[in-house]
Amino acid sequence: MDETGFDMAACLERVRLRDEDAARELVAQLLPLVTKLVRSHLPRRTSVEDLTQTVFMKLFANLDQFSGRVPLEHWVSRIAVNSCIKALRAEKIRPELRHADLSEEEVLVLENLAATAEEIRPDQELGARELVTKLLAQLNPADRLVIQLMNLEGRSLQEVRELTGWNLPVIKVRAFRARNKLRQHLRQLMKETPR
Amino acid sequence: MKNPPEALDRLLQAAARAPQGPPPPVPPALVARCVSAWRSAGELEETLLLIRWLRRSMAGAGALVLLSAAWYFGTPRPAANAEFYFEDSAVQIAFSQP
Repeated sequence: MDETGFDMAACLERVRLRDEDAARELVAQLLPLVTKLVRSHLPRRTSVEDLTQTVFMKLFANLDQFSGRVPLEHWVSRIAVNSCIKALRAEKIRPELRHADLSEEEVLVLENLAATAEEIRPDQELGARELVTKLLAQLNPADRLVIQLMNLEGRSLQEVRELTGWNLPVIKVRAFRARNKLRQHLRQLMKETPR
Repeated sequence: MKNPPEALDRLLQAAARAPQGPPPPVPPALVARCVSAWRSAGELEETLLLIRWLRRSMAGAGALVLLSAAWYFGTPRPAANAEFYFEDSAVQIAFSQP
């Protein structure tokens, strides 16, 4: 039982017996976690609600496979992340990012990056975030995910391993390649930036 | 122009520091929607189980019919006019006795 008085094991047992109230309690309990993950890795043309529902359907369909050796939250996180990767893979077309597609704030960030070696100013951090989001859209789903988790969410290799199920060498290689690709895209944009 | 790798690190660090507003509230109807989908999936699963059971029963019944037919047609039976030969042989036996 957790600090809120929610008994997960008992709830899962009732869900397995097809108790609808238990299913409602379980969804309500896990919904914040699932929506947070889905929002972080959402493909462009998919709604949060649709993907969240997909995650819960997978969760219910595979509930018998949950052994209880890891916390349910870890298991659900992995289902959510893998569902997002699958949805991202389905999104085959990645629009090419041109300098003309950037907003004023994003251009300012690029100019700042090109002009100085100093940290980006706090008032430009939102622009940096938007620019990174656009750059990440150029990468394939796995590369995007590894940068999102490690560089933007600050997760450790171990946490990424738990979330994705990839082993450590795979994560390291993927991160290295993803950074290289991101660097190439950034270099291209910086070339187009007027100095 | 500065070295792009450095630029990438600075960009990622700034993006990670960017304030993120409070997450938008989870639509309350989403819980009901997920539970409803779970219920529908359960009903569908029961229907599929029933269909699977019916299909197996039909296959079993079909196999039984085929086996019965094979047994019926495969067993050797006396010809339709065998009755005449039986009676004829009985008459011959009767007359051959002293």
